[in-house]
Amino acid sequence: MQIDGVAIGNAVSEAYDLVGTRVQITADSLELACAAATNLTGFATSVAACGCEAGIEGPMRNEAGPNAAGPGMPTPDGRPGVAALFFASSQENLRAQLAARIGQSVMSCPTSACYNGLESETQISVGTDLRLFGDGWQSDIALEGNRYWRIPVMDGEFVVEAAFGCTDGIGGANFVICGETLDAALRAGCDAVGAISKVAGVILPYPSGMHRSGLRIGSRYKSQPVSTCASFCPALRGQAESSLPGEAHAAVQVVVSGLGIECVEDALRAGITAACRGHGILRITAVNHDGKIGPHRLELHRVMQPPGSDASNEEGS
Amino acid sequence: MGWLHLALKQPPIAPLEAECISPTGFWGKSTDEITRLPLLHGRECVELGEFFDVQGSSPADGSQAERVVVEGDLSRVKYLGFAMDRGTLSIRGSAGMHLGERIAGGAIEVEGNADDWVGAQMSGGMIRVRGDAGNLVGATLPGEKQGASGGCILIHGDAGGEVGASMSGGLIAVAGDCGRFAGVGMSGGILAVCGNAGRRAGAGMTDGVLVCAGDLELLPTFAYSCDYRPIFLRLVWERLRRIGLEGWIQPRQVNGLYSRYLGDANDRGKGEILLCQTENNA
Repeated sequence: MQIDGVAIGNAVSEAYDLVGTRVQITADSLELACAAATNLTGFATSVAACGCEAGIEGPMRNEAGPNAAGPGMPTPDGRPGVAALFFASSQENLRAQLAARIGQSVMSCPTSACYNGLESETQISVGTDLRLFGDGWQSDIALEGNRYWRIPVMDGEFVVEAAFGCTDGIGGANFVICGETLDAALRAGCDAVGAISKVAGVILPYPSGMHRSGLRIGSRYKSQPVSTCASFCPALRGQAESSLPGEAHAAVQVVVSGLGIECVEDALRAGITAACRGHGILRITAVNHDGKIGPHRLELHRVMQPPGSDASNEEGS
Repeated sequence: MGWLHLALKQPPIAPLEAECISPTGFWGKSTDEITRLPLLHGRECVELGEFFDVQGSSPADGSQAERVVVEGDLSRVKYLGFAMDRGTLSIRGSAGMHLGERIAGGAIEVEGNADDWVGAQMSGGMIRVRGDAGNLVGATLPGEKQGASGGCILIHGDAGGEVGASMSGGLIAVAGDCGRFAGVGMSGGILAVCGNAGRRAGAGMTDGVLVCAGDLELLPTFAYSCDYRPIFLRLVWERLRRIGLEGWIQPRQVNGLYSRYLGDANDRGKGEILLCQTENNA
Protein backbone atom coordinates (compact mmCIF):
# COMPACT_ATOMS: atom_id res chain seq x y z
CA MET A 1 0.00 0.00 0.00
CA GLN A 2 1.18 3.50 -0.79
CA ILE A 3 -0.25 6.90 0.07
CA ASP A 4 1.11 9.91 -1.83
CA GLY A 5 4.03 7.72 -2.85
CA VAL A 6 4.89 6.71 0.72
CA ALA A 7 4.89 3.01 1.52
CA ILE A 8 2.59 1.95 4.33
CA GLY A 9 4.07 -1.09 6.04
CA ASN A 10 1.94 -4.16 6.55
CA ALA A 11 2.30 -3.61 10.27
CA VAL A 12 0.08 -3.97 13.28
CA SER A 13 -0.18 -1.32 15.97
CA GLU A 14 -1.07 -2.91 19.26
CA ALA A 15 -3.24 -1.07 21.76
CA TYR A 16 -4.32 -1.77 25.32
CA ASP A 17 -7.48 -1.14 27.32
CA LEU A 18 -7.75 1.92 29.52
CA VAL A 19 -10.41 3.81 31.44
CA GLY A 20 -10.78 7.42 30.33
CA THR A 21 -12.52 10.65 31.24
CA ARG A 22 -12.67 14.25 30.09
CA VAL A 23 -11.93 17.14 32.43
CA GLN A 24 -12.92 20.75 31.76
CA ILE A 25 -10.80 23.45 33.36
CA THR A 26 -11.98 27.05 33.35
CA ALA A 27 -10.50 30.25 34.72
CA ASP A 28 -10.82 34.01 34.39
CA SER A 29 -8.39 33.95 31.46
CA LEU A 30 -7.37 31.36 28.91
CA GLU A 31 -3.77 31.77 30.08
CA LEU A 32 -4.67 30.68 33.59
CA ALA A 33 -6.83 27.81 32.34
CA CYS A 34 -4.00 26.63 30.08
CA ALA A 35 -1.48 26.93 32.89
CA ALA A 36 -3.64 24.76 35.13
CA ALA A 37 -4.32 22.26 32.35
CA THR A 38 -0.65 22.04 31.36
CA ASN A 39 0.32 21.34 34.93
CA LEU A 40 -2.55 18.92 35.36
CA THR A 41 -1.52 16.83 32.37
CA GLY A 42 2.23 17.01 33.01
CA PHE A 43 4.31 13.85 33.46
CA ALA A 44 1.46 11.68 32.24
CA THR A 45 2.90 9.86 29.24
CA SER A 46 2.30 6.23 30.18
CA VAL A 47 0.14 4.40 32.68
CA ALA A 48 3.03 2.12 33.58
CA ALA A 49 5.53 4.83 34.45
CA CYS A 50 3.33 7.80 35.39
CA GLY A 51 0.10 6.24 36.61
CA CYS A 52 -1.92 7.81 33.83
CA GLU A 53 -1.85 9.12 30.30
CA ALA A 54 -3.17 12.63 29.85
CA GLY A 55 -3.14 15.49 27.44
CA ILE A 56 -4.89 18.69 26.53
CA GLU A 57 -7.60 17.96 24.00
CA GLY A 58 -8.13 21.58 23.01
CA PRO A 59 -9.49 24.98 24.02
CA MET A 60 -13.18 25.45 24.60
CA ARG A 61 -15.51 28.22 23.53
CA ASN A 62 -15.59 31.24 25.78
CA GLU A 63 -19.31 31.17 26.48
CA ALA A 64 -21.63 29.29 28.75
CA GLY A 65 -23.28 26.06 27.69
CA PRO A 66 -24.39 22.63 28.82
CA ASN A 67 -22.08 20.38 30.71
CA ALA A 68 -20.28 17.37 29.25
CA ALA A 69 -18.60 19.03 26.33
CA GLY A 70 -15.26 18.99 24.56
CA PRO A 71 -12.92 21.18 22.54
CA GLY A 72 -14.68 24.00 20.74
CA MET A 73 -17.77 23.60 22.89
CA PRO A 74 -19.07 26.11 25.46
CA THR A 75 -17.75 25.88 29.00
CA PRO A 76 -20.09 25.17 31.93
CA ASP A 77 -19.48 28.55 33.58
CA GLY A 78 -19.00 30.68 30.47
CA ARG A 79 -15.35 31.50 31.14
CA PRO A 80 -12.34 30.58 29.02
CA GLY A 81 -11.56 26.90 29.34
CA VAL A 82 -9.63 23.89 28.18
CA ALA A 83 -10.64 20.25 27.78
CA ALA A 84 -8.22 17.52 28.78
CA LEU A 85 -8.41 13.74 28.58
CA PHE A 86 -7.19 11.34 31.23
CA PHE A 87 -6.62 7.60 30.99
CA ALA A 88 -5.62 5.06 33.60
CA SER A 89 -5.59 1.30 33.93
CA SER A 90 -8.63 1.14 36.23
CA GLN A 91 -11.39 3.33 37.62
CA GLU A 92 -9.69 3.36 41.00
CA ASN A 93 -6.37 4.47 39.53
CA LEU A 94 -8.12 7.11 37.46
CA ARG A 95 -9.91 8.45 40.53
CA ALA A 96 -6.69 8.58 42.54
CA GLN A 97 -4.76 10.31 39.75
CA LEU A 98 -7.49 12.87 39.14
CA ALA A 99 -7.94 13.68 42.82
CA ALA A 100 -4.20 14.17 43.34
CA ARG A 101 -3.60 16.11 40.15
CA ILE A 102 -6.69 18.35 40.35
CA GLY A 103 -5.87 19.07 43.98
CA GLN A 104 -2.31 20.11 43.19
CA SER A 105 -2.60 21.61 39.73
CA VAL A 106 -6.09 23.09 39.34
CA MET A 107 -7.23 23.94 42.84
CA SER A 108 -3.94 25.78 43.34
CA CYS A 109 -4.34 27.91 40.21
CA PRO A 110 -6.09 31.26 40.87
CA THR A 111 -9.69 31.63 39.62
CA SER A 112 -9.83 28.07 38.27
CA ALA A 113 -12.72 25.63 38.38
CA CYS A 114 -12.93 22.01 37.27
CA TYR A 115 -15.89 20.19 35.73
CA ASN A 116 -16.74 16.79 34.38
CA GLY A 117 -16.69 16.70 30.59
CA LEU A 118 -18.03 13.25 29.86
CA GLU A 119 -21.62 12.11 30.28
CA SER A 120 -21.63 8.50 31.35
CA GLU A 121 -23.58 6.24 33.65
CA THR A 122 -20.28 5.06 35.08
CA GLN A 123 -18.92 7.76 37.34
CA ILE A 124 -15.95 8.16 39.61
CA SER A 125 -15.94 10.34 42.67
CA VAL A 126 -13.36 13.12 42.42
CA GLY A 127 -14.66 16.30 44.01
CA THR A 128 -16.00 14.29 46.91
CA ASP A 129 -12.39 13.43 47.82
CA LEU A 130 -11.11 16.94 47.20
CA ARG A 131 -13.78 18.52 49.37
CA LEU A 132 -12.00 17.42 52.52
CA PHE A 133 -9.42 20.10 51.82
CA GLY A 134 -12.16 22.48 52.90
CA ASP A 135 -11.75 21.20 56.46
CA GLY A 136 -15.44 21.47 57.16
CA TRP A 137 -15.92 24.87 55.53
CA GLN A 138 -16.83 23.33 52.19
CA SER A 139 -20.39 23.36 50.90
CA ASP A 140 -22.15 21.90 47.91
CA ILE A 141 -24.86 22.77 45.45
CA ALA A 142 -26.93 20.51 43.22
CA LEU A 143 -27.97 21.57 39.72
CA GLU A 144 -29.62 19.40 37.07
CA GLY A 145 -28.69 16.27 38.97
CA ASN A 146 -25.02 17.26 39.17
CA ARG A 147 -23.30 18.06 42.43
CA TYR A 148 -20.61 20.68 42.80
CA TRP A 149 -18.34 21.27 45.76
CA ARG A 150 -17.37 24.78 46.80
CA ILE A 151 -14.07 24.80 48.66
CA PRO A 152 -13.02 28.12 50.24
CA VAL A 153 -9.61 29.29 49.01
CA MET A 154 -7.66 32.51 49.13
CA ASP A 155 -9.21 34.11 46.03
CA GLY A 156 -12.76 33.10 46.86
CA GLU A 157 -13.73 29.50 46.29
CA PHE A 158 -12.70 26.57 44.16
CA VAL A 159 -15.60 24.85 42.43
CA VAL A 160 -15.16 21.21 41.45
CA GLU A 161 -17.75 18.77 40.22
CA ALA A 162 -18.30 15.86 42.59
CA ALA A 163 -18.34 13.04 40.03
CA PHE A 164 -16.72 12.56 36.65
CA GLY A 165 -18.04 10.23 33.96
CA CYS A 166 -15.68 7.57 32.69
CA THR A 167 -15.72 5.18 29.78
CA ASP A 168 -13.62 2.55 28.05
CA GLY A 169 -10.61 3.90 26.25
CA ILE A 170 -7.55 2.52 24.57
CA GLY A 171 -3.93 3.58 24.56
CA GLY A 172 -0.65 2.73 22.90
CA ALA A 173 -1.89 2.92 19.32
CA ASN A 174 1.03 4.16 17.25
CA PHE A 175 2.68 4.66 13.93
CA VAL A 176 6.30 5.33 13.06
CA ILE A 177 7.42 7.85 10.44
CA CYS A 178 10.67 6.83 8.77
CA GLY A 179 12.39 9.79 7.13
CA GLU A 180 15.38 10.31 4.91
CA THR A 181 16.56 12.89 7.42
CA LEU A 182 15.66 13.95 10.95
CA ASP A 183 14.25 17.22 9.59
CA ALA A 184 11.97 15.34 7.21
CA ALA A 185 10.74 13.02 9.95
CA LEU A 186 10.13 15.93 12.33
CA ARG A 187 8.25 17.97 9.75
CA ALA A 188 6.03 15.02 8.90
CA GLY A 189 5.55 14.30 12.60
CA CYS A 190 4.43 17.88 13.22
CA ASP A 191 2.00 17.64 10.31
CA ALA A 192 0.61 14.40 11.74
CA VAL A 193 0.23 15.94 15.19
CA GLY A 194 -1.57 18.93 13.69
CA ALA A 195 -3.99 16.70 11.83
CA ILE A 196 -4.67 14.51 14.87
CA SER A 197 -5.35 17.57 17.04
CA LYS A 198 -8.53 18.10 15.00
CA VAL A 199 -9.87 14.65 15.94
CA ALA A 200 -12.12 14.74 19.02
CA GLY A 201 -11.67 12.22 21.81
CA VAL A 202 -7.95 11.55 21.42
CA ILE A 203 -4.73 12.85 22.90
CA LEU A 204 -1.04 12.44 22.17
CA PRO A 205 0.41 12.00 25.64
CA TYR A 206 4.08 12.49 24.76
CA PRO A 207 5.80 15.90 24.60
CA SER A 208 5.03 17.69 21.34
CA GLY A 209 2.88 14.70 20.39
CA MET A 210 5.90 12.79 19.14
CA HIS A 211 7.92 10.03 20.74
CA ARG A 212 11.51 9.16 19.94
CA SER A 213 12.22 6.60 22.66
CA GLY A 214 9.99 3.89 21.26
CA LEU A 215 10.32 0.79 23.36
CA ARG A 216 10.35 -2.94 23.17
CA ILE A 217 9.19 -5.25 25.95
CA GLY A 218 12.10 -6.78 27.84
CA SER A 219 15.77 -6.02 28.30
CA ARG A 220 19.07 -7.75 28.80
CA TYR A 221 19.02 -6.26 32.31
CA LYS A 222 16.77 -7.98 34.84
CA SER A 223 15.75 -4.74 36.53
CA GLN A 224 14.59 -3.17 33.28
CA PRO A 225 11.14 -4.26 32.04
CA VAL A 226 11.40 -2.31 28.78
CA SER A 227 14.27 -1.07 26.64
CA THR A 228 14.98 0.96 23.54
CA CYS A 229 13.48 -0.25 20.31
CA ALA A 230 16.78 -1.12 18.67
CA SER A 231 15.26 -2.06 15.34
CA PHE A 232 14.18 1.57 14.80
CA CYS A 233 17.45 3.18 16.00
CA PRO A 234 19.41 4.26 12.93
CA ALA A 235 22.66 4.35 14.89
CA LEU A 236 22.36 0.61 15.56
CA ARG A 237 22.03 -0.33 11.90
CA GLY A 238 24.59 -3.03 11.34
CA GLN A 239 24.68 -4.00 15.01
CA ALA A 240 21.05 -4.96 15.53
CA GLU A 241 18.33 -6.13 13.17
CA SER A 242 16.86 -3.00 11.59
CA SER A 243 13.26 -2.27 10.62
CA LEU A 244 14.23 0.99 8.94
CA PRO A 245 14.38 1.33 5.15
CA GLY A 246 17.93 1.49 3.86
CA GLU A 247 17.88 5.24 3.17
CA ALA A 248 16.16 6.19 6.42
CA HIS A 249 18.30 8.11 8.90
CA ALA A 250 15.66 9.03 11.52
CA ALA A 251 12.25 7.95 12.76
CA VAL A 252 9.64 9.42 15.08
CA GLN A 253 6.70 7.65 16.61
CA VAL A 254 3.25 9.10 17.20
CA VAL A 255 1.36 7.43 20.07
CA VAL A 256 -2.39 7.93 20.47
CA SER A 257 -4.74 7.37 23.42
CA GLY A 258 -8.46 7.87 22.96
CA LEU A 259 -12.01 7.40 24.14
CA GLY A 260 -12.72 4.32 22.03
CA ILE A 261 -11.24 2.49 19.11
CA GLU A 262 -13.14 4.45 16.46
CA CYS A 263 -11.66 7.82 17.33
CA VAL A 264 -8.21 6.30 17.74
CA GLU A 265 -8.42 4.80 14.25
CA ASP A 266 -9.64 8.18 12.95
CA ALA A 267 -6.58 9.76 14.55
CA LEU A 268 -4.19 7.22 13.02
CA ARG A 269 -5.78 7.74 9.62
CA ALA A 270 -5.57 11.54 9.88
CA GLY A 271 -2.02 11.46 11.17
CA ILE A 272 -0.67 9.01 8.62
CA THR A 273 -2.38 10.82 5.74
CA ALA A 274 -0.82 14.12 6.84
CA ALA A 275 2.61 12.58 7.37
CA CYS A 276 2.59 11.05 3.89
CA ARG A 277 2.25 14.50 2.32
CA GLY A 278 5.69 15.47 3.61
CA HIS A 279 8.88 15.35 1.61
CA GLY A 280 11.55 12.77 2.35
CA ILE A 281 9.27 10.24 4.02
CA LEU A 282 10.18 6.70 3.08
CA ARG A 283 7.79 4.55 5.02
CA ILE A 284 5.05 4.58 7.66
CA THR A 285 4.97 1.55 9.89
CA ALA A 286 4.19 0.64 13.51
CA VAL A 287 5.93 -0.93 16.47
CA ASN A 288 4.60 -4.36 17.18
CA HIS A 289 5.07 -6.14 20.50
CA ASP A 290 3.77 -9.59 19.53
CA GLY A 291 0.64 -9.22 21.64
CA LYS A 292 2.50 -8.35 24.86
CA ILE A 293 1.10 -4.81 25.09
CA GLY A 294 -2.62 -5.30 24.63
CA PRO A 295 -5.41 -7.14 22.89
CA HIS A 296 -6.29 -4.59 20.21
CA ARG A 297 -4.65 -5.03 16.83
CA LEU A 298 -4.86 -2.03 14.52
CA GLU A 299 -3.56 -3.18 11.14
CA LEU A 300 -2.34 -0.11 9.32
CA HIS A 301 -3.57 -1.34 5.95
CA ARG A 302 -7.08 -1.86 7.30
CA VAL A 303 -7.07 1.43 9.21
CA MET A 304 -6.01 3.33 6.11
CA GLN A 305 -8.70 1.71 4.00
CA PRO A 306 -12.03 2.27 5.75
CA PRO A 307 -15.00 0.63 4.00
CA GLY A 308 -16.08 2.66 0.98
CA SER A 309 -12.96 4.79 0.98
CA ASP A 310 -10.90 5.24 -2.15
CA ALA A 311 -8.32 7.47 -0.56
CA SER A 312 -5.53 4.97 -0.98
CA ASN A 313 -4.32 2.59 -3.65
CA GLU A 314 -3.10 -0.96 -3.30
CA GLU A 315 0.46 -1.30 -4.51
CA GLY A 316 1.94 -3.46 -1.80
CA SER A 317 4.05 -2.27 1.07
CA MET B 1 -46.63 9.58 23.24
CA GLY B 2 -50.30 10.06 24.12
CA TRP B 3 -51.95 13.31 25.08
CA LEU B 4 -55.12 14.40 26.80
CA HIS B 5 -56.91 17.72 26.56
CA LEU B 6 -59.19 18.90 29.34
CA ALA B 7 -61.37 21.98 28.80
CA LEU B 8 -63.11 23.55 31.76
CA LYS B 9 -66.86 23.73 31.02
CA GLN B 10 -67.60 26.47 33.56
CA PRO B 11 -65.63 27.97 36.45
CA PRO B 12 -66.51 26.25 39.73
CA ILE B 13 -68.53 28.25 42.26
CA ALA B 14 -66.61 26.76 45.18
CA PRO B 15 -62.95 25.66 45.20
CA LEU B 16 -62.49 22.48 43.19
CA GLU B 17 -59.89 20.05 44.51
CA ALA B 18 -58.47 18.13 41.57
CA GLU B 19 -55.55 16.06 42.85
CA CYS B 20 -55.99 13.55 40.05
CA ILE B 21 -55.32 15.98 37.18
CA SER B 22 -51.80 15.12 36.10
CA PRO B 23 -50.11 12.56 33.83
CA THR B 24 -49.50 10.48 36.95
CA GLY B 25 -53.14 10.66 38.05
CA PHE B 26 -54.34 9.62 34.59
CA TRP B 27 -51.72 6.95 34.00
CA GLY B 28 -53.21 3.57 33.08
CA LYS B 29 -56.78 4.88 32.74
CA SER B 30 -59.01 5.13 29.70
CA THR B 31 -60.74 8.38 28.79
CA ASP B 32 -64.01 7.01 30.22
CA GLU B 33 -62.35 6.16 33.51
CA ILE B 34 -60.77 9.60 33.64
CA THR B 35 -64.12 11.36 33.24
CA ARG B 36 -65.39 9.40 36.26
CA LEU B 37 -62.47 10.30 38.55
CA PRO B 38 -63.64 11.99 41.75
CA LEU B 39 -63.11 15.68 42.46
CA LEU B 40 -64.15 17.65 45.52
CA HIS B 41 -66.30 20.68 44.73
CA GLY B 42 -66.71 22.53 47.98
CA ARG B 43 -67.79 19.66 50.18
CA GLU B 44 -69.44 17.69 47.39
CA CYS B 45 -67.80 14.81 45.60
CA VAL B 46 -68.29 15.16 41.85
CA GLU B 47 -67.00 13.41 38.75
CA LEU B 48 -64.30 15.03 36.65
CA GLY B 49 -66.59 14.90 33.62
CA GLU B 50 -69.00 17.34 35.30
CA PHE B 51 -66.44 20.14 35.05
CA PHE B 52 -64.20 19.10 32.17
CA ASP B 53 -64.57 17.96 28.58
CA VAL B 54 -61.92 15.30 28.10
CA GLN B 55 -60.42 14.58 24.70
CA GLY B 56 -57.62 12.31 23.63
CA SER B 57 -56.44 10.87 20.34
CA SER B 58 -57.98 7.52 21.32
CA PRO B 59 -60.19 6.24 24.16
CA ALA B 60 -57.21 4.56 25.79
CA ASP B 61 -54.96 7.60 25.65
CA GLY B 62 -54.97 8.19 29.36
CA SER B 63 -53.05 4.98 29.84
CA GLN B 64 -50.02 6.45 28.10
CA ALA B 65 -50.66 10.20 28.31
CA GLU B 66 -47.28 11.85 28.77
CA ARG B 67 -48.81 15.26 28.04
CA VAL B 68 -51.94 16.66 29.67
CA VAL B 69 -53.29 20.07 28.64
CA VAL B 70 -55.88 21.81 30.81
CA GLU B 71 -57.63 24.89 29.48
CA GLY B 72 -59.80 27.52 31.13
CA ASP B 73 -59.84 29.79 34.17
CA LEU B 74 -58.52 27.34 36.72
CA SER B 75 -57.85 29.88 39.44
CA ARG B 76 -60.29 28.04 41.71
CA VAL B 77 -58.98 24.60 40.82
CA LYS B 78 -56.59 23.40 43.51
CA TYR B 79 -53.95 20.68 43.61
CA LEU B 80 -53.35 20.50 39.86
CA GLY B 81 -50.35 18.24 39.27
CA PHE B 82 -50.40 16.98 42.83
CA ALA B 83 -47.57 14.50 43.49
CA MET B 84 -46.99 13.93 39.79
CA ASP B 85 -43.82 12.13 38.85
CA ARG B 86 -43.82 12.03 35.06
CA GLY B 87 -44.92 13.74 31.88
CA THR B 88 -45.98 17.30 31.21
CA LEU B 89 -48.95 19.23 32.56
CA SER B 90 -49.74 22.43 30.64
CA ILE B 91 -52.17 24.90 32.15
CA ARG B 92 -53.59 27.31 29.55
CA GLY B 93 -54.84 29.88 31.99
CA SER B 94 -54.26 30.55 35.65
CA ALA B 95 -53.94 27.88 38.32
CA GLY B 96 -55.36 27.72 41.83
CA MET B 97 -53.65 26.98 45.12
CA HIS B 98 -51.31 24.05 45.73
CA LEU B 99 -50.21 23.71 42.11
CA GLY B 100 -47.66 20.93 41.86
CA GLU B 101 -47.67 20.22 45.57
CA ARG B 102 -45.33 17.30 46.40
CA ILE B 103 -44.32 16.94 42.74
CA ALA B 104 -41.45 14.48 42.31
CA GLY B 105 -40.88 14.52 38.55
CA GLY B 106 -42.13 15.76 35.21
CA ALA B 107 -42.91 19.35 34.30
CA ILE B 108 -45.77 21.78 34.93
CA GLU B 109 -46.18 24.92 32.89
CA VAL B 110 -48.73 27.64 33.68
CA GLU B 111 -49.38 30.33 31.09
CA GLY B 112 -51.08 32.64 33.59
CA ASN B 113 -50.74 33.22 37.31
CA ALA B 114 -50.67 30.69 40.12
CA ASP B 115 -52.05 31.05 43.62
CA ASP B 116 -50.32 30.18 46.92
CA TRP B 117 -48.28 27.06 47.67
CA VAL B 118 -46.82 26.46 44.19
CA GLY B 119 -44.59 23.39 44.46
CA ALA B 120 -44.94 23.12 48.20
CA GLN B 121 -42.73 20.31 49.45
CA MET B 122 -41.68 19.32 45.96
CA SER B 123 -38.81 16.87 45.64
CA GLY B 124 -38.15 16.88 41.90
CA GLY B 125 -39.37 17.96 38.48
CA MET B 126 -39.94 21.47 37.23
CA ILE B 127 -42.69 24.07 37.61
CA ARG B 128 -42.82 27.16 35.43
CA VAL B 129 -45.30 29.97 36.06
CA ARG B 130 -45.24 32.56 33.27
CA GLY B 131 -47.23 35.06 35.31
CA ASP B 132 -47.12 35.88 39.01
CA ALA B 133 -47.22 33.43 41.90
CA GLY B 134 -48.79 33.77 45.32
CA ASN B 135 -47.27 33.20 48.72
CA LEU B 136 -45.25 30.22 49.94
CA VAL B 137 -43.73 29.07 46.63
CA GLY B 138 -41.77 25.86 47.31
CA ALA B 139 -42.52 26.18 50.98
CA THR B 140 -43.28 23.73 53.73
CA LEU B 141 -46.84 22.80 54.55
CA PRO B 142 -48.33 23.48 57.98
CA GLY B 143 -47.24 20.78 60.41
CA GLU B 144 -44.31 19.72 58.27
CA LYS B 145 -40.67 20.64 58.80
CA GLN B 146 -39.21 20.80 55.33
CA GLY B 147 -40.14 22.68 52.18
CA ALA B 148 -38.88 21.93 48.70
CA SER B 149 -36.06 19.42 48.73
CA GLY B 150 -35.30 19.18 45.01
CA GLY B 151 -36.43 20.17 41.54
CA CYS B 152 -36.79 23.63 40.08
CA ILE B 153 -39.46 26.36 40.20
CA LEU B 154 -39.37 29.30 37.80
CA ILE B 155 -41.60 32.30 38.36
CA HIS B 156 -41.43 34.66 35.38
CA GLY B 157 -43.32 37.40 37.21
CA ASP B 158 -43.45 38.41 40.88
CA ALA B 159 -43.97 36.11 43.84
CA GLY B 160 -45.65 36.69 47.19
CA GLY B 161 -44.28 36.26 50.67
CA GLU B 162 -42.33 33.40 52.22
CA VAL B 163 -40.95 32.06 48.95
CA GLY B 164 -38.83 29.00 49.69
CA ALA B 165 -39.85 28.84 53.33
CA SER B 166 -37.94 25.99 54.98
CA MET B 167 -36.68 24.69 51.66
CA SER B 168 -33.83 22.22 51.97
CA GLY B 169 -32.82 21.68 48.34
CA GLY B 170 -33.55 22.46 44.73
CA LEU B 171 -33.65 25.75 42.89
CA ILE B 172 -36.31 28.47 43.00
CA ALA B 173 -35.94 31.49 40.74
CA VAL B 174 -38.14 34.57 40.72
CA ALA B 175 -37.60 36.82 37.72
CA GLY B 176 -39.42 39.72 39.37
CA ASP B 177 -39.80 40.82 42.95
CA CYS B 178 -40.82 38.72 45.90
CA GLY B 179 -42.58 39.58 49.13
CA ARG B 180 -41.56 39.45 52.76
CA PHE B 181 -39.67 36.62 54.43
CA ALA B 182 -38.11 35.18 51.27
CA GLY B 183 -36.13 32.08 52.20
CA VAL B 184 -37.32 32.10 55.78
CA GLY B 185 -35.99 29.06 57.60
CA MET B 186 -34.05 27.77 54.60
CA SER B 187 -31.75 24.84 55.32
CA GLY B 188 -30.49 24.17 51.79
CA GLY B 189 -31.00 24.79 48.11
CA ILE B 190 -30.79 28.00 46.12
CA LEU B 191 -33.32 30.84 45.97
CA ALA B 192 -32.51 33.36 43.24
CA VAL B 193 -34.41 36.65 43.04
CA CYS B 194 -33.73 38.77 39.97
CA GLY B 195 -35.74 41.68 41.33
CA ASN B 196 -36.17 43.03 44.85
CA ALA B 197 -36.83 41.02 47.98
CA GLY B 198 -39.19 42.18 50.72
CA ARG B 199 -38.35 42.71 54.35
CA ARG B 200 -36.84 40.10 56.65
CA ALA B 201 -35.42 37.97 53.86
CA GLY B 202 -33.48 34.97 55.11
CA ALA B 203 -34.84 35.11 58.65
CA GLY B 204 -34.02 31.88 60.43
CA MET B 205 -31.78 30.55 57.64
CA THR B 206 -29.49 27.75 58.74
CA ASP B 207 -28.00 26.85 55.34
CA GLY B 208 -28.58 27.30 51.64
CA VAL B 209 -28.08 30.29 49.36
CA LEU B 210 -30.32 33.31 48.78
CA VAL B 211 -29.19 35.40 45.81
CA CYS B 212 -30.71 38.78 45.13
CA ALA B 213 -29.93 40.98 42.15
CA GLY B 214 -32.13 43.85 43.34
CA ASP B 215 -32.67 45.52 46.67
CA LEU B 216 -32.77 43.54 49.87
CA GLU B 217 -32.93 44.97 53.37
CA LEU B 218 -30.62 42.78 55.41
CA LEU B 219 -31.45 41.64 58.88
CA PRO B 220 -28.88 42.69 61.48
CA THR B 221 -28.29 39.02 62.25
CA PHE B 222 -26.41 38.51 58.96
CA ALA B 223 -22.66 39.18 59.09
CA TYR B 224 -20.69 40.55 56.17
CA SER B 225 -17.96 38.26 54.74
CA CYS B 226 -16.51 39.76 51.57
CA ASP B 227 -17.12 40.99 48.05
CA TYR B 228 -16.28 38.39 45.43
CA ARG B 229 -17.36 36.71 42.22
CA PRO B 230 -18.89 33.34 43.10
CA ILE B 231 -18.11 30.90 40.30
CA PHE B 232 -20.95 28.58 41.26
CA LEU B 233 -23.45 31.36 40.57
CA ARG B 234 -22.34 31.34 36.95
CA LEU B 235 -23.58 27.75 36.81
CA VAL B 236 -26.88 28.79 38.35
CA TRP B 237 -27.42 31.70 35.95
CA GLU B 238 -26.42 29.54 33.01
CA ARG B 239 -28.94 26.90 34.08
CA LEU B 240 -31.65 29.56 34.40
CA ARG B 241 -30.72 31.11 31.08
CA ARG B 242 -31.07 27.79 29.33
CA ILE B 243 -34.46 27.05 30.82
CA GLY B 244 -36.03 30.34 29.86
CA LEU B 245 -35.02 33.23 32.11
CA GLU B 246 -32.47 34.64 29.67
CA GLY B 247 -34.19 38.00 29.35
CA TRP B 248 -34.09 38.57 33.11
CA ILE B 249 -30.42 37.83 33.67
CA GLN B 250 -28.21 40.88 33.35
CA PRO B 251 -24.46 40.72 32.58
CA ARG B 252 -23.68 42.12 36.03
CA GLN B 253 -25.47 39.15 37.62
CA VAL B 254 -23.12 36.78 35.79
CA ASN B 255 -19.87 38.74 35.82
CA GLY B 256 -20.32 41.17 38.68
CA LEU B 257 -19.29 41.32 42.29
CA TYR B 258 -21.46 39.99 45.07
CA SER B 259 -21.45 40.94 48.72
CA ARG B 260 -21.60 37.84 50.86
CA TYR B 261 -23.42 37.77 54.19
CA LEU B 262 -23.71 34.83 56.55
CA GLY B 263 -26.55 34.07 58.97
CA ASP B 264 -29.01 33.91 60.51
CA ALA B 265 -26.99 34.35 63.71
CA ASN B 266 -30.17 33.95 65.75
CA ASP B 267 -30.23 30.33 64.62
CA ARG B 268 -26.43 29.89 64.53
CA GLY B 269 -26.97 29.50 60.81
CA LYS B 270 -24.48 29.37 57.97
CA GLY B 271 -26.93 30.41 55.31
CA GLU B 272 -25.58 32.71 52.62
CA ILE B 273 -27.14 35.85 51.25
CA LEU B 274 -25.38 37.06 48.12
CA LEU B 275 -26.26 40.58 47.03
CA CYS B 276 -25.36 41.55 43.51
CA GLN B 277 -23.65 44.90 43.53
CA THR B 278 -25.02 47.62 41.33
CA GLU B 279 -23.10 48.51 38.19
CA ASN B 280 -21.74 51.61 39.92
CA ASN B 281 -20.30 49.53 42.74
CA ALA B 282 -19.17 46.49 40.79
